[in-house]
Amino acid sequence: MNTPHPNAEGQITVLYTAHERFWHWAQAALIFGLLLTGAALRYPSAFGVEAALPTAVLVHNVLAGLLLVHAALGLFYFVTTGNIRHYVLRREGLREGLVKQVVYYGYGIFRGCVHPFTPTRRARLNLLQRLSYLALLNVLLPAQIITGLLIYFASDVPEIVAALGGLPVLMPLHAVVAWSLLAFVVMHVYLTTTGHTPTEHLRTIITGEAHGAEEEAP
Amino acid sequence: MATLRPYRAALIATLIAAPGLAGADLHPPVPLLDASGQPVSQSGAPVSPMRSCDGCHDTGYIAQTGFHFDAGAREAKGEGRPWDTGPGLLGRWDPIAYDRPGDLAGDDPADLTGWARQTPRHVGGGPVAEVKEPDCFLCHVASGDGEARAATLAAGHLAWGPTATLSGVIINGRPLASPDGQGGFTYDPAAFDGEGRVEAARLGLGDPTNQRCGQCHGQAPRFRAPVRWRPDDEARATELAGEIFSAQRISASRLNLAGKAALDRPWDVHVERMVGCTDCHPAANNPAAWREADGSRPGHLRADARAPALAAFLKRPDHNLQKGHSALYTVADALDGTQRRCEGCHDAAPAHAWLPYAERHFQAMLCESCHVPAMMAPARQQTDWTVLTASGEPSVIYRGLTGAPDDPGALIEPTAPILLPRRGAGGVEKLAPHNLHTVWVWVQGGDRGPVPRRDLEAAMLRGEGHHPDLVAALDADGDGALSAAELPLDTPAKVEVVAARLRAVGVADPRIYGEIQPVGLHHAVAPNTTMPRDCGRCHGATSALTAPMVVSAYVPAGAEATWAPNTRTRQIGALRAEPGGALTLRPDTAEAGVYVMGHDRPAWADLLGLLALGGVLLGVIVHGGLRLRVARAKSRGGHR
Repeated sequence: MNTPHPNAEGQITVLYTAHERFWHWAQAALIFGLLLTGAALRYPSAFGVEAALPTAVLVHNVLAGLLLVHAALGLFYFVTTGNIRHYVLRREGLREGLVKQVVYYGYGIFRGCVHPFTPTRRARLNLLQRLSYLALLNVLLPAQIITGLLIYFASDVPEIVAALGGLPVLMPLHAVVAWSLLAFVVMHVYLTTTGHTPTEHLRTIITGEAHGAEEEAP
Repeated sequence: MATLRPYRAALIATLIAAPGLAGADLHPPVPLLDASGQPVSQSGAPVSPMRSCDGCHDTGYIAQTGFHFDAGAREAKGEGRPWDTGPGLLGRWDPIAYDRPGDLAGDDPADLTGWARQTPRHVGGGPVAEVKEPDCFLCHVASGDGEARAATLAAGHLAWGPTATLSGVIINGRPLASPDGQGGFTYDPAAFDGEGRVEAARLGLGDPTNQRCGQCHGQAPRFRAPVRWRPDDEARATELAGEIFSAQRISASRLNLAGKAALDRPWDVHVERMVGCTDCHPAANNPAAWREADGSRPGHLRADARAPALAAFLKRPDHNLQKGHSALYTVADALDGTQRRCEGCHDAAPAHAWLPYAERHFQAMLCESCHVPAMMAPARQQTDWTVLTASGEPSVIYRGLTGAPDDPGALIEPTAPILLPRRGAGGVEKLAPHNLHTVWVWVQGGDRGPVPRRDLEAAMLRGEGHHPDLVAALDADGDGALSAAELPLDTPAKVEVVAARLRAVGVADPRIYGEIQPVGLHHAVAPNTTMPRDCGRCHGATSALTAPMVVSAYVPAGAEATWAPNTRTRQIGALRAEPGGALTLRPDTAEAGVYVMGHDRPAWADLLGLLALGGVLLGVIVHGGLRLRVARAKSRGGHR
């Protein structure tokens, strides 16, 4: 017999403000657009854009510029509002927390166990999420931004580009990171289905409201 | 005040500067003197340009300093072939002219008279100054007769060479000099004034016209002369790169060119706009075009305002003409980069606003890579000296030509050049369009170089045809004669037959040497308006940057082709023997340090990416599948 999830009927809490939701979806759209135009630039024949390559380049670069601005504004917002705390890992209880998450996703989720983490407005990301976002924000995105900028400004800083192996190294690196971002997106989308219902997390990032979340961390 | 519109001002300036017009009008009458300083109108002796021009111009200085005279004789050999003795016309073996000094029958290698006779491409002076003085008229007289000069030289009348050049000058309907039937020339007295002088305008004196330069460098027909094509060993830019320096519309030419009707553009846009050879390759100290080389100009100066004085230029015009970085020519390297390149006149940015990463394109390739999109005339693909034709000539295959070279009806198809990295100013490499000319030749053992032509003829020819040994070995159709298709030495047995014949005439240790000479394309520039803005041409799955070029239609058995030494162009990619026997080169842009977006996709990058994505997808499928299975099991349990 199924045991009702204890949090399923909890109170409704607003986890994400309208601004945060817009920030998320704008970022998703930009990354999706960059992946799509990037793939078209990498495989122009397959995408049938050989004749429209200048347009594809322009769109890719404009999207990249928007993402940069978006990231900068996002950083400003999260720092000034203190919401950056959601992405900060603390050493205290890290190992235990991670083990709990791994055990839950590797075992507990199949047994109908309670998720070891309850999101609150003060701490809405679990440790595994924080760790993956940390990798995304500190490794993948910076790597993509740096390689992208070097490619964009290759003719202005030829010495630096040459010292790093030139475009024959930077362009494939940019592509590898893009593939990794795509893999991240796939993982990210899949994990949204691991709520009480497959669409619960998706609904939360659309409406901002979470059922069963708590106002404050216990 | 009325102002001149820019194009009118340009036209007037061009007309003023046009050779043979205002220039000749300003020039004083020229006393045509013989070697002893006597007017030839009185002495009847050969004209001596060195004496005739010396009154106003320092001919001694000119002859001693210009690289056209020296022909590389005083330069170090550099990275030449083992048998080369210098980098220029004199010391560097020429696969088209073939014989080297001393190879001519009966010649003493130390005696360059034979070379002077057989090399009309050489203007005279320099290493052969004693027997063949510099022929100023060859370049500076608009209607000079180069063919008459070549014939006179070949006949051994070296002193009459300049006079033969002047035989093309027509004054009052009569030639200035006419053959006397004994190798010399007689003068028309009416052409001279009382002091033995000829008016410069009637002489057609001036800056070298395109046609003058074209005598040696490529076909440059006069404006109204219809463009024809024919094999021409002397016109090297046409012969080796398919370049025709003409203002005429391609569609109006006499060539049987595929798609000609649609080619409503000039053969070269610069000639159409009245830009001549000397506008880009002026004398180094010409005040009107003076420009210090990038290498010697201080970096903080865009230009040095201290241009040479006009008087100094007229007295001592520096005949070291400004030049670029040639893939083919290897003389006067010190002058490399003195020439004004495309960007010296053109501001590329406005015209390329449509082009993403325009500056990156400019850094990676020369302008010609796009603006010389095709060789519109046939260009030599290969010259095979391994078996002479019955007339004693090499077998020549032209790129883009279907049919016999001497057949005006032979179909010509424009062919795309191959883009290869060339070392230019500052040692920087950029992709540039090239033709590849391959030569197959028998060389003697001990790095003694190509077998002299007289030995080739002795070994391979007999009477009007080929030697019976060759006919027996190569005559596949058994008609008793060797056709062009039967000449390639495509089996070891055939190679051995010819080698045996060469040994029989005294050639030691003969072997076949193959060499690929890249030839840069810098003329025959297409108008900007005809440039296709087709990114896919380079950035698609099939890229023009990596399009293969046939290097040789066949490879003699056991022979290998090597990249020509002492060329600034680098081979990228490997030579490949095609199933049909042809040898091709497919450029590898990675070897040039160039990354062509949309075309270059290193497998490792996509492999890594696919592994990452595949791993995640696998995890999602397994994890999601298990969740689904558990959920279904629970669902079934609940229903029960």
